[in-house]
Amino acid sequence: MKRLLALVLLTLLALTSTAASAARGLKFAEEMRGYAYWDGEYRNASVSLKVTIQDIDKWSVDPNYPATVTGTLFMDRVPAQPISGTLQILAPAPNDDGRLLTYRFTSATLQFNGIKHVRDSAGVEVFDDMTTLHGMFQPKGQTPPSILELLYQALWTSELHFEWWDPTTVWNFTMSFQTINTPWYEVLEVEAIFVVTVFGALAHTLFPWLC
Amino acid sequence: MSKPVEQRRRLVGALGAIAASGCLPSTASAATKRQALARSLSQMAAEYDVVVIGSGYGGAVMAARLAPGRRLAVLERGREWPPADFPSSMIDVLGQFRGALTPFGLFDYRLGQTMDVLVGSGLGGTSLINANVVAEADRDAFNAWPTKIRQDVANGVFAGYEARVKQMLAADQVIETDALRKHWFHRSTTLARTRQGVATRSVPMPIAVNLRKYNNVPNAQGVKQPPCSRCGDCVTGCRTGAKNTLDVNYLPLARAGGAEIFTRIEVDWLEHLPDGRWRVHTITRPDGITSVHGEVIAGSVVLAAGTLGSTQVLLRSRAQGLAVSPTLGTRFSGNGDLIALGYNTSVQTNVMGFGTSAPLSGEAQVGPTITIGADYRAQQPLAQRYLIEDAAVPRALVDAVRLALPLSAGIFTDFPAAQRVARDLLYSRTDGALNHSMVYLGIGHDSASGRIQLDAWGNAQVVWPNVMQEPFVARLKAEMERHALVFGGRYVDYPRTSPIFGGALTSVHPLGGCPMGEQGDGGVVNADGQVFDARVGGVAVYSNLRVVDGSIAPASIGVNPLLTIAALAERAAEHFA
Repeated sequence: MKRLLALVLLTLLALTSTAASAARGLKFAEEMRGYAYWDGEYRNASVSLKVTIQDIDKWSVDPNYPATVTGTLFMDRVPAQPISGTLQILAPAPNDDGRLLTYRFTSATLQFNGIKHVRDSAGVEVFDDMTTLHGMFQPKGQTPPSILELLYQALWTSELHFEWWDPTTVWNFTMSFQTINTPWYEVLEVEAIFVVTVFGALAHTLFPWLC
Repeated sequence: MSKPVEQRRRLVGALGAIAASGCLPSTASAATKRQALARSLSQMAAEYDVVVIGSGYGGAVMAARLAPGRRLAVLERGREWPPADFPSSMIDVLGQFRGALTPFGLFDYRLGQTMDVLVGSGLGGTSLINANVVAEADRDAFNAWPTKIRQDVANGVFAGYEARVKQMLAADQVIETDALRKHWFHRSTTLARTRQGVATRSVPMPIAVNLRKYNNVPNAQGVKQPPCSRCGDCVTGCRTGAKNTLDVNYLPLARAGGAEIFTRIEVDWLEHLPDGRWRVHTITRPDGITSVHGEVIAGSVVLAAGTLGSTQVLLRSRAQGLAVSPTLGTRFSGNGDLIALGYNTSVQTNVMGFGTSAPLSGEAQVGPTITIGADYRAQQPLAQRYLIEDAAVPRALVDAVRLALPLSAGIFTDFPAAQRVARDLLYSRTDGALNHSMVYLGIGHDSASGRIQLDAWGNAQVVWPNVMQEPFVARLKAEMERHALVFGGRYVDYPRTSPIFGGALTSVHPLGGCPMGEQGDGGVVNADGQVFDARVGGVAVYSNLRVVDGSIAPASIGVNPLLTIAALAERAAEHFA
């Protein structure tokens, strides 16, 4: 009996230490729809993304921490293609009082660079700022537009929206959240870190059931 | 014209024009300083070898080609327009509608029962306020023209005149790397229509705009020109000075050749003198309002005052006894023009001109007003061919249009579309419905069965009772609607076309009134523009009285007509004896 108790304790200890050594993370899915300028014309386009924040604690204190992005790009008259890349969530916008969500991803043939610009003064339009992605699709390997060009020179040619006015989209989004390497008793904390970091004071309005 | 009536006409005209969204003017600040071309009226002589009446595409070309070796005067009713003088705000634009109190106004907007006409007034004529599209007419569009013209077209001689004009106007075209959204958008919807099985193709339009050729250096005629700023305000006058208007090419050439150019002098009527010369009866307004009548003697007259202007002068002259063809005033064509919008699509199109103001955030450039066309001319009978070109809303009209369109477009239930409309009602921004729209200028073929006649005040007006039933109207509307639908937009009439505002068409390319014909019973002028002498009949002409402008086109041309008119003038100049 003593031996059995010791074995259980050792097992628990090992499990706890494993959980403590691996960073806590979070992943979620995001779908956006809109239009893209590609190969000489505007096309209806959408992306289905899986965003993984491998270390939510690092991410919450480092605005330049890149989350990883994988998913699928759909564009009219272009075969659906897998994409992968990064997402910086809410890094400060250069020369601006707002923040940026910067998406960069590539497929086998193309690349995308884009931003969501969340203005500090957006007021109720923060919903649109948080959900409107402006960027540029290019053949892979071309020089991408800089953040400044996207932000101030309106060089973006494509616009994708997370359709926050569509209940299904919002439901799918909120139900997609999953923690990584997180003990059950820290799940809510990790989700809260995400929501509070991303939405700040608006979190209570947007997703009260998560806070 | 009585003051109240005139004021009312101007007001209605102005409102109609504002409603018109993309076709009219506005603009802004100081640009290139240019040497004045016009002389003081006090320097005008009593006699000239040649008097050219008007300075548009007919008059400017004739003056440039005829001036060397002749004592030649150009008489222009409007004023000279340095780029910085063009109107920039809506108030400025409203003040530039030509009328009894504003005889030197830039915009000559003539209201009609069923058809309005807009042309430019000033040195350079309509080139000051058009989109400067230099497009060749289909060769079979000349089928209804006199034999000599048809022969020149068939044997390539006419193409030589066109080439000469293109070179003078330094036509260029927008390219992919200019990255103009409205250009891309129109190409995209055209490609979509092609995929849907419609016989159309996307064609970049050649335009007389200095897109990149001269960068603040003198052009071929020595006029310093900056490049286009992509501000979208071509049709309210280019305050940048980048448009290749006639006052930077043909008119400086005319002046260099010895032409004496006078502005603010209007021609009332022409009197044929017993010695064969012409007494040109003029009106000047030293104080800007009061009319002072005068005259100048001309060995030869070139009437190039535009479709309404030239027809008006001949109608007035006929009333004074000049024997001209009974066909005077007939064959008026609006060139199948139809203006409309594809409103509130899902794509940001950047059609809101910003003139010399800073562009709104999110809209770095608009582009020249017209850059590209959807071409429906292949494999169709002539009468069924048409073009749909892109356009833009000039800065001066942006606010009026963005606020007015939600009223006529109806309610949008789709959330993003409704949100864009709400933004337009609340803000002047680039993410509203207007900046997700496309302004269309459709050009087709009509039956040229309109008529120009003088109203009670002696001014030309267009009468065309059934013009709305012309087949091109429904054809163009239907296709514009399908273009708009490609990205979820809605077809919206140009306000003046809506029954609420009178249900009239607006032409920015008026043609006819002094149509060419083989002889006097079938036309007003012959192939060289010489006016048939109705006293004699047949092919007899007043050899020294010519009409050379859009009024001599006997039918619609089917494309923006400036190239055809200017080429006709090159031809007439070559045949001048």
